[in-house]
Amino acid sequence: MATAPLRKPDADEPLLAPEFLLKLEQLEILSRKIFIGRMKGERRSKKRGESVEFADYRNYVVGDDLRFLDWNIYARLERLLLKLFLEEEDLNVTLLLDTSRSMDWGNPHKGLYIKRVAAALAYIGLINYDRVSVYAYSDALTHEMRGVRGRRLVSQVIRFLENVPLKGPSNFTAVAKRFAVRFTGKGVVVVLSDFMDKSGYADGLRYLLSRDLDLYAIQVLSPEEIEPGLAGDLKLKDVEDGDLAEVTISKPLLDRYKANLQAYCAELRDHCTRRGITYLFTNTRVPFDTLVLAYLRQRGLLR
Amino acid sequence: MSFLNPYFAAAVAAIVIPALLILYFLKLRRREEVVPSTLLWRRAVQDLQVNAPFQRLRKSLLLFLQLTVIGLAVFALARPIIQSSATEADRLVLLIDQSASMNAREADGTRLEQAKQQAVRLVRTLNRRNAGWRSFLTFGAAETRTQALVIAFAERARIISPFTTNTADLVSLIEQIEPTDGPTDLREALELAEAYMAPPAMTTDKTPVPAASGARLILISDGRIAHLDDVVLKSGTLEFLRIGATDDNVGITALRTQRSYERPEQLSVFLTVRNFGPAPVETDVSLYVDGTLAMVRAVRLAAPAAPSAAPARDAEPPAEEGSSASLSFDLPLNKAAVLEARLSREDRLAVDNRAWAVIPPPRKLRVLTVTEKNYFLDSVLRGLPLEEFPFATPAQYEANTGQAYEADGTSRFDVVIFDKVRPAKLPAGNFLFLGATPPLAGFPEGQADENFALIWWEETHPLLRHVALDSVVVAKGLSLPVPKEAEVLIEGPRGPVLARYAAEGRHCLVLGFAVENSNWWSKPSFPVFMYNAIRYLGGGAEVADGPLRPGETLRFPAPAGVESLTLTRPDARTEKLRVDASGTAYYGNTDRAGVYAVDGGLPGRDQFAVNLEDDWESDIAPPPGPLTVDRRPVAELNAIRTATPEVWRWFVGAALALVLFEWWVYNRRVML
Repeated sequence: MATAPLRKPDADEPLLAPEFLLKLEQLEILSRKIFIGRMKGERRSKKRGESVEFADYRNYVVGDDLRFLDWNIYARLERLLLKLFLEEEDLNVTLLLDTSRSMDWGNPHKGLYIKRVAAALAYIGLINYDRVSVYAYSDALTHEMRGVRGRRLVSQVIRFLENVPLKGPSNFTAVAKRFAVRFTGKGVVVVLSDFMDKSGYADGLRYLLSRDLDLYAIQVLSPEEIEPGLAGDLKLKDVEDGDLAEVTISKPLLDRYKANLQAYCAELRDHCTRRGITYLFTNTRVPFDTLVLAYLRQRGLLR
Repeated sequence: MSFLNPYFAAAVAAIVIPALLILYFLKLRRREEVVPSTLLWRRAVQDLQVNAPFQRLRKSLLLFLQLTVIGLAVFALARPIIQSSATEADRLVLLIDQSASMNAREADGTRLEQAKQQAVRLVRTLNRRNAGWRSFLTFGAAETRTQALVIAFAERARIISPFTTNTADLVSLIEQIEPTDGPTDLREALELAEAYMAPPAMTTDKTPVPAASGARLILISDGRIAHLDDVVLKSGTLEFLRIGATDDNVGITALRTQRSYERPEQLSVFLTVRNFGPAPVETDVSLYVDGTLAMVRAVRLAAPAAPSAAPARDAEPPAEEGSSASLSFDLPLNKAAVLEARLSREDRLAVDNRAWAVIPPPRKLRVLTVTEKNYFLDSVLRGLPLEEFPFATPAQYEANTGQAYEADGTSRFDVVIFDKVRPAKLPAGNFLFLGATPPLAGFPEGQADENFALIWWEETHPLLRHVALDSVVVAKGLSLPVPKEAEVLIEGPRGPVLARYAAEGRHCLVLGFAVENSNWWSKPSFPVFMYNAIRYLGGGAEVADGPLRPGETLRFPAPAGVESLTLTRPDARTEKLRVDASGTAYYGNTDRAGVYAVDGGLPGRDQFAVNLEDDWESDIAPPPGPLTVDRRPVAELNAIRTATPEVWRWFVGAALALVLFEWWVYNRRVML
């Protein structure tokens, strides 16, 4: 079966269509946990701070900013009380993109698909003044764009995503370990991958969980992986590591393959659910805007 | 089913099947296909391989198909045969019809040739498996072998081969069966077969006679068998192998010739031609005299109205209007000759297109009357068409001067009338005694009797045809104490009055009274009786009663002193015939139609014509419906198409079909 048609059939199209962007304007990224941001943002924070939203009063102690004294209270009660406001902070939105060779596959194309999802999420984050970081990884973190904030950088992020090559073997465990070491902040982390990793996904997810992040795992598979159209006596070559598997395709084998895939995905889902990771499986045949506008909202990532 | 070539096929299978398996294991060239990840594939393959070591073979439809194809090809190589004879019975009786209708020409050879071919094929299938793998498997253990008995039958049945297992003998003996022109009679064949099938009544040792297992009788015939309902099948099962399909035949079904008594040089020929075929025909009927064409007449015959399927021979198929024609010819023929009638039309059965008749020379009779004086005889003889009728007194006759009356113990006249005369001795010849008895050892003298009437007479005898004796009264005569062999034709109150007696070359007709001693001379029946008697004695008696049919015995009288005669058959073969003590040679092997002639026989008695003249055999159309024997339908066997009914083609065909299926499966890429 020819592999050529599977490659980037719509590579020339922009990652995000303008009308789709309009729809995205309505959305914002949610976090089930409220994290402490680094900068003032548009998000309520646990911290009391300098927003317009009143939170509480407290007694003045020496050193407090005199600007926040409630002079009306002082006039009435002659006591120095300090007005406390809810702090609005920004959110760290981190997108981890699997850009290994295996993502360069499928019709619709898996790599393009996750790039689009990532672009959409990044756009939503940027228009909501979140700090958006995009990491592309294969067997290591190969490309990154960290701490982008602000609407005007949307085009930069999109260009970055467009230019990330899809190559190299994947090693999620090593990448997660490295990421956990480097990434000090808190926030939402979305992993976009097919999770078809010979090193396994369990260790990698554990590294990420250790950082107390709000984790999302989106598994993207192409229709060809879900329903293989293979037949005959084949020597299957792994596109990433060149591993060869000799198979004679027969109906029992196909059935077995599908059962294994089901089991694999179910295991991944269970693994995630048990650890508070939001898992989402998607076939690239599902239009990515549907995924973003409907499924991700259902899962609570977007509002 | 068994195999002709099992070892070769086994060897091929032993080589090819492992080779295929090795090819499947080793030389599987896999197409390379790039997939995003082999992770799940590996797992799937491992899962499957864990299940069963031969999973791969079991699940591979292609391998299975290829193995099946090889298996079929190997089967074909083993040359399987279907033992259509299915010789479960250990004894087989082949009844081969060799009657006249079996000479009908079919598309390929005559029916008899086809029957012989079928018989040979049947025989060749016998004991086949004994030579094959089964005896190999049983380590050559003794197995009951099928014995075959071959009987050829037409009118008579003949053992071609007694029970034997020797196929080569059987084949060569069957090949030697020759056609005959006889009618078909199954009864004798079955009786013969039963005689052979019956276990011996006694054995020399004390071993018990095994109960006769029913043998299998296979009748190979065209189904034109007469009297099938009279046939009784006592043991065994009868099966019928039908031969022949053609029905186009026109035949001469009767040929009679007669010389006019009054004008002997004129020959009348009566001929019946009948069409048995499905279509109206036109044919020329030619008469040949001694091989020279004498007369031709065209005849047009309609098709029989109904299919000629008379249930029994006895019910002679009615001659439908127009499908048969009776022709009569008159031709001058003043010498002895062989007459042949011939139909010019070519049809399927040749034997009934020709018929022969042996014509005696024209002859006027010479009659001697030995009497003192008899006016009545003189006046009667004067009115008969005779060459001469001299009179002699008893004294003159006994003197026999110049051997005028007899020579070498033979009468010189065709008929001698003794009127109230008993000669001393009697030469060979034909005699009419009036009021006297012949001087023969077995013939006692008569007792005088007076005044009696005639009580009974054999009205149907040729001698007494148109002879009315009601009012004849005898004044003085003899009552005849005739010998037992004599044929009594008239009886009086006290014994026979007219008797016919033949012995030792003397043919006597003895009347117990002289004509002038009765009132017979005044009756019209007396000249008629004399006419009949002289004609009967002078030649009519020796004319064969009817035409000779194939299978009948010919009788050739030989001149004195001749010990053997040379017979020439219609098929130009010659045979030596031994003359027996009575001076006659017999020949019974008249299985072909035609003229049988001997060299050196008595003139006029030295050739005979044998004709088919059989409506039943000429009607060669195979009878429709199942054959019924003993009022039961007989199972019909299928003809064996090839010498050995091999079925390897089926296996090769199946293999080819499977190859196509395999190709389709391979291209469809959907593996079950």
